[in-house]
Amino acid sequence: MPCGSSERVFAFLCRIVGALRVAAFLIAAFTPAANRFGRWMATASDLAPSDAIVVLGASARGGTLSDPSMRRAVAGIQLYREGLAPRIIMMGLGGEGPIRAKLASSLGVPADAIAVEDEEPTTRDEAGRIGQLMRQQGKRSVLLVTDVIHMKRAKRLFEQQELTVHPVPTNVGLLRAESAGGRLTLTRTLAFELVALGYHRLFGYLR
Amino acid sequence: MSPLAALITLLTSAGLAVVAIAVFRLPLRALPSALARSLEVIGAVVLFSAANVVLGMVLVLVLRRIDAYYFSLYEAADVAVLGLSFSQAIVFYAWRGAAGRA
Repeated sequence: MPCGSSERVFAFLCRIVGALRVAAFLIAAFTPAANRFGRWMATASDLAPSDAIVVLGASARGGTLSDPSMRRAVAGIQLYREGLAPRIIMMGLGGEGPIRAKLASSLGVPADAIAVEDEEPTTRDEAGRIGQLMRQQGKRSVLLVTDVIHMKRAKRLFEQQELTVHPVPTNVGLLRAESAGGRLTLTRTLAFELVALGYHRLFGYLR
Repeated sequence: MSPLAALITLLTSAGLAVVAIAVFRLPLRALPSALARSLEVIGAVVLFSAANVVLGMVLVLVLRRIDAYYFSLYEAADVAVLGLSFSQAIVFYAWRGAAGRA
């Protein structure tokens, strides 16, 4: 293909992609489409007495929990204090697990009710580790705590470990974003999760 | 909805149009072609971003296999990638313009 011709094709392709991008931006920012899609992706809360509360990792930097990490940890501690499970398992790399355990302890959770699992880098690894632990102890049910958009994938991964999973999603306010910025944040979160779901399906991690 | 953001953008766009026509003497008939060129640049940003993110994800997956340190796939889609892709597209279009082909 001559140079000028291939440039014209590239320019045309860019123009189409650009028009689609502008349309997608306007729809995501100024219509409730992201909220509706988010609600479709979300998993409802199902509080039930269980063998353990599992708080999935998010991130921690320099000894400080990230906002999602803190939200999940506090939700897990609340579930424990409501008496829904006799133990709480705090997960998360980079010091996250121990920081959360300290937080739980400072909020009145007895030390012998707190377990830390801090060597699993992915949700899939976390599900595998908890599945192994629960089988060893003859336990089957968990209250699973993670962000609302992450819950669908996390729940399936834990169910594949033959566990009975009661989801407790956090950050559900994200689904009720009212500003354009909030809806764009929701759209970005949904896009990341869709890519993650696609990746898990592609490599056969989700059955 | 966000009426304030839309109103602000409308007001500054109208102001810019007045300055462009009255001060810079830009012809109004060139506006559709400028909008089409803008879509091209935006499209190039999207394509460069997609290429950067896909390459980043492949690199992360390779590094996970050869290194004990854990790399998150989210790092491949860091917001900085969008900024750098934007710069790539601007430079590419400026290059084409400098060569008289944009």
